[in-house]
Amino acid sequence: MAIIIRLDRVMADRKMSLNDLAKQAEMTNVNLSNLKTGKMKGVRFETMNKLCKILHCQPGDLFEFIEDDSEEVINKTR
Amino acid sequence: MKQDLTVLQKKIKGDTTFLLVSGIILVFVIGFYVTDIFQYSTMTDSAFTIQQVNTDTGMQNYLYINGEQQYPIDYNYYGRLNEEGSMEIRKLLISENIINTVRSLLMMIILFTLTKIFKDLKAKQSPFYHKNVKRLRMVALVSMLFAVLPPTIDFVFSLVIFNFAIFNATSLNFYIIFISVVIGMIAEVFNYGSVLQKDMDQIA
Repeated sequence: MAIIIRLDRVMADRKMSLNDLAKQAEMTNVNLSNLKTGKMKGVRFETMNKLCKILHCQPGDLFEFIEDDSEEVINKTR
Repeated sequence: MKQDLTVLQKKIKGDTTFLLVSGIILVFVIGFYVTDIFQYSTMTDSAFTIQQVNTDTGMQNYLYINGEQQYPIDYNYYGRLNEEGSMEIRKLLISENIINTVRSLLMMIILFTLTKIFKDLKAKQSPFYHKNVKRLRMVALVSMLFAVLPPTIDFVFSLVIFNFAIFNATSLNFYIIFISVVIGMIAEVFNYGSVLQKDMDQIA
């Protein structure tokens, strides 16, 4: 997939742990971890709304689109 | 959505209680049948007779055990004669109780499986996952056995007791066979649902 999840960066900037964010966003740790590691196929607007509210960020801060989704580019950006 | 789920959760609790009560009743029923089986096994053939009794609705055939009147009985079934020309009421009563015990056990298996499904629902788990598909398939199979097994057992017992038996297709309960097919089809719908659920679970 060409969409890269930058949730871990935003969480680190806000100094928020996975457990805290999961608790506040009313998500399970497993789901949030899967989202963070890019294993999810999609995100609901409701979830995105909650994450942006908690992390005081924009949706664009959480997701990044890379045109060329070759492995090399994805590894470099990570 | 959360309120709807809470209402459903309460309903599931009621359904689970109903299943539990039904299960307990079935346990007692099985107990009665097994007690009768052991009791009749220890008695002699001569203790069992059929007598005609004049009732308000006309002449009826009643079962007598050790001279005590029991309940009305189907003479066409229990009055059959063996090769020596005598009735086998005791053995037929035992076979009938065995068949009823098997029926009750199959019902218990269905109730137990349904309880497991409702237990998972109560734990706020989606009903559409592979375990429930397997459970529903089991319910369909056990329902099919419920229709097919009792006439088969009856056939085998008749063969053993009378050295003669006819397997009558009309003794099969086709309604239950139809229901079991329907449940099997619903299991496949749940199978499709589980694939969709798996896909949905990959959306945060």
